[in-house]
Amino acid sequence: MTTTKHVPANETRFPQPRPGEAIVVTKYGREKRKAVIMHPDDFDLLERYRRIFAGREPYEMKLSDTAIVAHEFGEHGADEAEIDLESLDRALA
Amino acid sequence: MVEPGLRGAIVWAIVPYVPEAPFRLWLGDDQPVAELPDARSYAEQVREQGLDAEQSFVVQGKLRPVLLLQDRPRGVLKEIVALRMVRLEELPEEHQTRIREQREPSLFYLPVRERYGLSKEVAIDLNALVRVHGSAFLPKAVGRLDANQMRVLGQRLAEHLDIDLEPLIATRVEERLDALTRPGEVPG
Repeated sequence: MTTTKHVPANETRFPQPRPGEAIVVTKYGREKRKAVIMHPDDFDLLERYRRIFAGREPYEMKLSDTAIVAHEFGEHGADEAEIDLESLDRALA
Repeated sequence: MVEPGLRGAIVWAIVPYVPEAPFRLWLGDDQPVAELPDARSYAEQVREQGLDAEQSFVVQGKLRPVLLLQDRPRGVLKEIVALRMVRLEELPEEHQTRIREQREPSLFYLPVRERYGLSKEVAIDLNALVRVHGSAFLPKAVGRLDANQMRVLGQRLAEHLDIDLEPLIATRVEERLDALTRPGEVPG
């Protein structure tokens, strides 16, 4: 997502872009772009594309301590003191 | 062997632990168990010392309940994907509480209920995907999750496995829109 900063409209002067139009503010002739002004609808569209197509963070980055601890317990069989014989008997019946 | 209708079933299965270094190899009755410290050593032994790439590994496994994620109506694929469960009783209390309160998307909580067929409370660990051979689980399911629960698990699992579903969804939406806007056709 883009980090956004809000500036009151009466504190700045800029050209008004139409939907579908990008106004490129340049310096040194057209050699260097300083800013791009776009219509809010286009910005919203850009953000939606960014959400859909931006590189995703691997889910492992989101794992909680509980998820990690529980996984380790299960992975090494430390999660049960004794087998659930009542359930196993149901499977064997 | 593998019967239809297994998706969502809770069955008891033999589940080996994932082999990890050091790797222990069984080389025969009259040989001591060999130990290789890491995957590179193993590969070097194969490459340079004639070790057969296929070996019998000594790994621990356990009889435990798992949740089957797939049906095998044709029975042509003998392996089935499942999720391992974790019992809550040995976990630190604060983690048990978080799981019971369903605040953990990675751990799908199952309380003790007749329909689950387990006498201990467990959580299905979405980080513990396993494959189980059809011959490695008891055919009688002890419990079952319903379609809604399986749908929730499926959505979460796609996230946990870092599967990018956006292209598939975009294609489906485009197909649907195409069908809706095609003249003279009534979409199904």
